[in-house]
Amino acid sequence: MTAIPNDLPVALVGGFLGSGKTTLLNNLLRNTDGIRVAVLVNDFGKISIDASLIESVEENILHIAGGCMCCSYGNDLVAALRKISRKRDLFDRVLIETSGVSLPYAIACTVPLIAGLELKTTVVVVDSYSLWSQLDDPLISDTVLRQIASANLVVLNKVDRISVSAQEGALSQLRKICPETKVYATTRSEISWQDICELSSQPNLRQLSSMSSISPGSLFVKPGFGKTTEGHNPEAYFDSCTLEMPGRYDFAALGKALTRCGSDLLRAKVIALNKEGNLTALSYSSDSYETLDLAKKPITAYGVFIFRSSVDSNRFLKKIISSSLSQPKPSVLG
Amino acid sequence: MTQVFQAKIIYTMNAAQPTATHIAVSGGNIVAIGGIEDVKHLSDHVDMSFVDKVLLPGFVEAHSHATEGTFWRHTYCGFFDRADPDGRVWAGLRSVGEIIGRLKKVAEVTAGSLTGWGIDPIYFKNTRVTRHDLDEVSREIPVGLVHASCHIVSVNSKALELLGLLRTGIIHPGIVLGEDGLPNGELRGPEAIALIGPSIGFDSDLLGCDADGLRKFARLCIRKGVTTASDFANPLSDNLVQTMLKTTAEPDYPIRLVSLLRSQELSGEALIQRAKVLKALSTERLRLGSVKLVADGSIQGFTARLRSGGYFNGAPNGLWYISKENLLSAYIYALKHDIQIHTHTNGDQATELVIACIKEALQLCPQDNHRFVIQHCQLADDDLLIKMKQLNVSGNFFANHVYYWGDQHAAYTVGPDRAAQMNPCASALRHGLQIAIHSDAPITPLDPLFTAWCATCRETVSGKILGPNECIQVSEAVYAITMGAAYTLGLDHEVGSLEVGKRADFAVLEQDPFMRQASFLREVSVWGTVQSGRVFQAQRPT
Repeated sequence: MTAIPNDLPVALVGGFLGSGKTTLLNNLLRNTDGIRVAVLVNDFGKISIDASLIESVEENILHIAGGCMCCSYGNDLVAALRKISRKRDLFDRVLIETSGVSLPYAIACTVPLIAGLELKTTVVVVDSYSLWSQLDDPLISDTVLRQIASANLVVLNKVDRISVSAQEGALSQLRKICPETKVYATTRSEISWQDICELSSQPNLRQLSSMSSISPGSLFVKPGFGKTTEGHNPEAYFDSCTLEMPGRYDFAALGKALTRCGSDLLRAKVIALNKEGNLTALSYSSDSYETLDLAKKPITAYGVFIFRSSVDSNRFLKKIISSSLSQPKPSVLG
Repeated sequence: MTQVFQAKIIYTMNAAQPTATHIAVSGGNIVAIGGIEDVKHLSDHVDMSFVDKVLLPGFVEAHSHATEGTFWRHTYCGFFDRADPDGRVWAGLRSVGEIIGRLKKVAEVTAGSLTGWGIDPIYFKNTRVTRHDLDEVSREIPVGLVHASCHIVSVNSKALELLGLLRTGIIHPGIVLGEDGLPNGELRGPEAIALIGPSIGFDSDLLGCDADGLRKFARLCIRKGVTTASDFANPLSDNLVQTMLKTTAEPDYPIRLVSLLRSQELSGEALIQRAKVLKALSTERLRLGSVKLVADGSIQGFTARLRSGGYFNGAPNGLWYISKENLLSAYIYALKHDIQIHTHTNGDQATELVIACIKEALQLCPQDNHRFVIQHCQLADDDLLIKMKQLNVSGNFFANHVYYWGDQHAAYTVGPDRAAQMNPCASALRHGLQIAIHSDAPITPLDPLFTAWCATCRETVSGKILGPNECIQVSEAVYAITMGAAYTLGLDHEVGSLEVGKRADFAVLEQDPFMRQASFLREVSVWGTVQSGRVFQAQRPT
């Protein structure tokens, strides 16, 4: 079908769990340049959109600064897409984040069958640090392969965590899976609208038929660099915890406390009152944090923490909170 | 007031007192059981209405979907004779022609849209049902035909036209094209079905169940001796829960419904928190608060995850429907908040992953009585069964599959060797697991005695015995549809056996299932049930 000019362009963002899909979405949402974007995510299990971008929340829809919105589609993507299509005057672009284990191919085939939508491209994010262990794992290697093979653009992410020779090795493996697909190397999914828009508007629908000839066992010769200098196991599981955070906090102390957690803490996001009583957002990841003053809005103060599941979460969070609470509640003992 | 029933014989499924003749009931509970001497102090009157009947504990359907009740609003088109909630038997249809004939008759009195269900083309040499066939039913209204697996739907041209899908140039793995390049009307897999479902009245809301559907489902249960039934994938929105609470509270609602939360929008802590909220709403007849997770797809749809060996016909490995990270985090929060999780697996690789995640979760949050259950668990070798036993995980096997699809499993999906070990009830018992067996109604008909027959005889549609070494004894099979099933649903302290203090739930049978050989199990007829002391006679067909 030839797309009529006012069809709403759709981009899929796929990739295995933890590869950096949400970071990519946030990067795009932070730099929309006035483009009104509708984002569809599988679920809001972990609060994934930058809290600082959220204007208001209703049921399964987050309204985002600049005329954007984000909604969860759960088990009925088709219904969500039809709804977006009916409201297509309100948006300039649609982004669909697929779940970490799903195959973008099936969704890529479905989108063009919804009147009013046009599939432009499939972006698949790959965690370069975990790629080898994923391809080595018989439970998930074929899923990761099939995801990568369906991409128009592969974002080879977190390359700062591997050596240059390892990057070259990863690239040559990607070449074998999808020889003609463009690959961008990034550290934190730094992809712009331009990167996405300049891709050919020919969606990648051909590869599944040839997938049966790709078998993980035969394709890959595992090079020697699988383990990098960092000692921890990239497969370790993470847990998340959402807390209400009433009271006032010393954000500098909070940031320091988070930084001290080292590799136990993967990511944190806090929206709470600072010492002066102003609503402040803090976003922590990769050993560094940034704070942002928010205009005062009626929003519940909360913190989301993603940490290694081997950590005792109660003690862990208590330590962080108590070291930064600037108006401690009178304790029972005191 | 205490009521005393006398029966020809009562099988209690309580090992300490296997049989009885008299049972006394008060306030919906059993207050005494044994011979006349054991109960006569409780009442002067003995109710003789069951004196020629055989009583067993009310059957517990360990894995069904209440939505079977709503399916009966549509036209049954299956290969096998099947009784509707009113006991009317719909004759099995043996050819596409017969299906078209039945739908045509319904179309004459139908406006809007028309849906048939239950067809399985494997029983007539895999003849595909295309839009051209269904165009004979109607060209004016959308017509759909849902296959028995619920993974394939055939539609007519009108249904395709309404959605702009009757055109060339469609590339979709779930939309089958004819020689003319147009869709032939066959839609495979959830993505394709989601595109067409709403236009034929078969949409995702069907998983929930309205009041009428819940009543119909309960009537099916009476006919099959079921007093507690599970509802294994319900979105349980606030509206649905209100409907379910109201309907099950009707004074003559005859079953205890165990409805599990299935959410694709919630994960981890949020999912478990929702389950906790639901758990608090539970009533005697509506049990909420357990969660269902789905790890992989189905074997006959080639979407189940298999270990090395793969699919017999060379199909690529199936799909994951959840990540191990999400499985693990759900298990951990469930253990922390005392919420029970049932996990669907069909393939052995999915079972392997689930076991690994349960193991890790239990290391982080040790607990003895967690009641993790693997649902279907169709392919499990000794290695997996032993690991399940070590972790105290029970298995609910899909015994009916052996009959309905065993021949196909041997020929196409996993080959004769692994097919002979599918749903390995005997091995599971040998390793000391708690087991249940189930119908997955409406995928196969709800009928625990038939399910017990499948587990004891392992006969396929073609009459072959598939894996005779996995056949179990009649007593083991009856245990699996009573105590075993109650155990998997966490209700074994209330139902599943007949002993003092438990609910007065009986299956009232016309014949004694233990007096003849195993093949007789499927012939036993059901008079009705007693549920919490209330008597429900199965409605005779009119």
